[in-house]
Amino acid sequence: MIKVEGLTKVFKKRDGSIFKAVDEFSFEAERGQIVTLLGVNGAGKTTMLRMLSTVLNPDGGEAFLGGHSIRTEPDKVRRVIGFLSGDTGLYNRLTPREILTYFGKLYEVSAVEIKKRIAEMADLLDMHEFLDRKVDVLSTGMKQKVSICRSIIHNPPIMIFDEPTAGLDILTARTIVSFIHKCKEDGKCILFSTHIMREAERIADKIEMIHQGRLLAEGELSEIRDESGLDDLDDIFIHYVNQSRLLSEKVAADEY
Amino acid sequence: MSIRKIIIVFRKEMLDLFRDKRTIITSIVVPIVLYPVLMIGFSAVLSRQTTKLHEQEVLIYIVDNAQDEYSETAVEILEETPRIQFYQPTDHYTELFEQKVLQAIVTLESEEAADGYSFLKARITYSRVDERSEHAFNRINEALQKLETELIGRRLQEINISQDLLQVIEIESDDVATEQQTLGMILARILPYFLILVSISGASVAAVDLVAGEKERGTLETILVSAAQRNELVLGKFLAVISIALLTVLLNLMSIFFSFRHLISQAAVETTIDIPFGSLFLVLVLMVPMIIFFSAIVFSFSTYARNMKESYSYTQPLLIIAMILSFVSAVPAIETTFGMTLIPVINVSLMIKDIMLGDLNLFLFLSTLVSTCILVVLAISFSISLFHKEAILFRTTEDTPVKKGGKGGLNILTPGFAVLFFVVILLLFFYLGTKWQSQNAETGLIMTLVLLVLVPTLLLIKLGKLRLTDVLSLKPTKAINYITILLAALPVFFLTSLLSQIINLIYPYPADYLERLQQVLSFEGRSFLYILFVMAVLPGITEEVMFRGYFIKAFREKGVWFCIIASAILFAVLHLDMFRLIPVAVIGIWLGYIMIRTGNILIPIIAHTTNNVLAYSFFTYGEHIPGFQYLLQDDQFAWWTALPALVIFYFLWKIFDRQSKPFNP
Repeated sequence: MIKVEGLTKVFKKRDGSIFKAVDEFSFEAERGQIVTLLGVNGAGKTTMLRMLSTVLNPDGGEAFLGGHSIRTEPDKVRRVIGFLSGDTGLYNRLTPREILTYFGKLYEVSAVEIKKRIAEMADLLDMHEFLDRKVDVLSTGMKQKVSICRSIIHNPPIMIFDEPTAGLDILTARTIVSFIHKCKEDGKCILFSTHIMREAERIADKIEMIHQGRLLAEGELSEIRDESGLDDLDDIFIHYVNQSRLLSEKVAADEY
Repeated sequence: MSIRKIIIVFRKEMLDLFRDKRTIITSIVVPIVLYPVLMIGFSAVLSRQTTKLHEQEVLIYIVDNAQDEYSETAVEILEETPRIQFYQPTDHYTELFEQKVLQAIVTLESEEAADGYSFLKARITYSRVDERSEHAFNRINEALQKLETELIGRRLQEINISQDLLQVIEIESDDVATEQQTLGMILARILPYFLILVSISGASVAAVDLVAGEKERGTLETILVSAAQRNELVLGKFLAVISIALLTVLLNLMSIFFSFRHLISQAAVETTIDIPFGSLFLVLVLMVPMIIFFSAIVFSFSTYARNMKESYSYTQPLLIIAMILSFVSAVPAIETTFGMTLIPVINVSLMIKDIMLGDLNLFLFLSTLVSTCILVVLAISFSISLFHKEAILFRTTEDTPVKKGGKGGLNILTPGFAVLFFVVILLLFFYLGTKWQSQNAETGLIMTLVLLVLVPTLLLIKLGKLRLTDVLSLKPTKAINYITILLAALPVFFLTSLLSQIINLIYPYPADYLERLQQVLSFEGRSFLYILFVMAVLPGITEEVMFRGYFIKAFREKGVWFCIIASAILFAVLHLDMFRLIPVAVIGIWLGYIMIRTGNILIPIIAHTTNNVLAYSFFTYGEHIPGFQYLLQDDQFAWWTALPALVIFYFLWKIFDRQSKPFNP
């Protein structure tokens, strides 16, 4: 469902020097699979996800989501993805129903269908009592539920989560995690970024370790464990970071 | 792009905006409530003030040095004049006047005239800035004039001449201004000012919320990921901004109109005064493009800003500039001319005044409308393109500034510092440069160039602990470039001179401006080489060091064209000459361009110097240059000269282009 081929994003710094936020990154994700993009803050996770969701244009490489190119068919790509981040991204002065209807209309879902989906999801997530109250007065947990509905109003086959649990309490975070599992059950393809090793350990089918924009290691948790000979994901991550540092130092040394 | 989606976005934004208290207050509550309150309060205060002044008694003191028949009559007359009181005899009347206890002092003297007659001289001491004192003067003056007519009549009677002989001219004032015009006059003054201000505040209250607000609340990314295209989003939002601004203006206009009409009807003049709705409609027709223009500007601010606070702070300078420009309509001496209709904001402001005064010129109206519409197209396309730039849309965190100064020195090579430096230089030019040059054109010019241009720039480089070559780059360039640039100065000079002539057609130079220009150019008894040094070589070196040396480098990080154009604009502004602003800026762009292309400061120095040599030679020795008269027509360069100038320039530029390093913006 997701196919990323050598994706690269370059940012220009103020002094004119360039900085590769994502550097020739490739990976794939299948239907019904949860793929985790694991890396520290500033590793390039958000930039990667923004490129996949067509908010940023890549400077190199290509990616296909649901068979659509992010370069040539960004409109079609946006239709097949649902996007959710830790920021709830809701309009405070509108009610959940208004927001959901708005996004539904933008996805060209029919009015009848929108109504039906809102009712369905309100049942599922227990949202009926606050559907018509302004977002302003809702609790974080309620807002997160609304956000979840918003991201899935058009029933997309691919879900992209950008650090969805960042800054949430345990209960709310659990709602998100169970939502992710629900998406998997429904056969969706899920891409999920986090810097929390335990979270990755718990829900990922496949882990993509990203560091300084580059792919550090990839595979199922068991594969990575075998390959590194370590058990704890923290240790594994540090192991690979050190390895890549040694490698780049060698390269640098060779150049001199 | 689908219209349906644009409408979906638009409707959602309108719903969102109308749930925002700020929008409601700015766009609806303030206009409806403010004007009635303002006008009623204002008129009450005003009428009380004037009646109070009219009814107030004034205290005066009379110094009668004449002590004759005339002075006694004068004192009597003044005593009888209503609302004039005499102060008791005292020696301290001057102090009392200074302390404002007395409003006026009348000193009466007797003077001898021819034929043995004497006359009375009355000096009234008063202060024009004190309204009560002025009232005293008016009353005394009126009483004494009445007395004069009476006394003349008496003298004429003594020699048996009829008093009627005095009647030579009778002046009757017949004010033809209709009530509508009088009302229009007052409205005309304030209306443009108010409308332009409220259109900005209405547009900004919506725009700030719609982009910067979304950035701040983190909703921007969600909406960008949705199935709506950027164009649909930007147009839907933009439409919402325009609608709010339009609503604000409309409500303000209505509220001003109705409250004003109510006020007039309360004043109970016999005729019912009315402003034709047609006028209001024309005002609205003009305001619509103006509103769209401001909407596009504040929308750009909002797109660029990281948060709402930043967005509001960008709006402040816009408000101040627009306030100053729109205030032009309140200046009585300024008339609407074709040139004026090309200046944004001023044109609309003047045109609204004309409409309200009932003297509308259709051609000027249309040219105002067209020039504003052109501006609108530019502003909209700019603001939409900004929304597509990801570096700007995701400009949420400030990247750390890069240190570029020398070790331990001040970081002088940043745009911010450059602007600060420029402001200082500009103030020095304004306070010292103009003073020096008005004292002595020649030494003043030399002092300005050396002390205010060259020395500060060199000091600045010292302050930054940079080497001279860090700022004044002297990269080697092909020898042929020196020659092409030297030759190109001629067509460039012609083209910019023709540009000046075009500007002169639209905004004619005032006569005293031309005179001043002549004065600067006259160097009596100096050798030609000396004049060339002062007029061409010195400005060439000093100004290029500052602008193509320092400024272009300081702005370099903002992009190639940005640094060229910004340094050119500063270059033009520092000439402190409104009429030459555009031609000088064009020359500045050319100089900046050749600087960037060659990386060698000598190239623009040569071009600048040659340009000045040409300018001086043509204006001073024009008629002595063989064949020169063929280039002229009515004391100007003939318009056809533009064609050969363009052709020559193009070929020289082609050669230069091939010989210089590639240009990549």
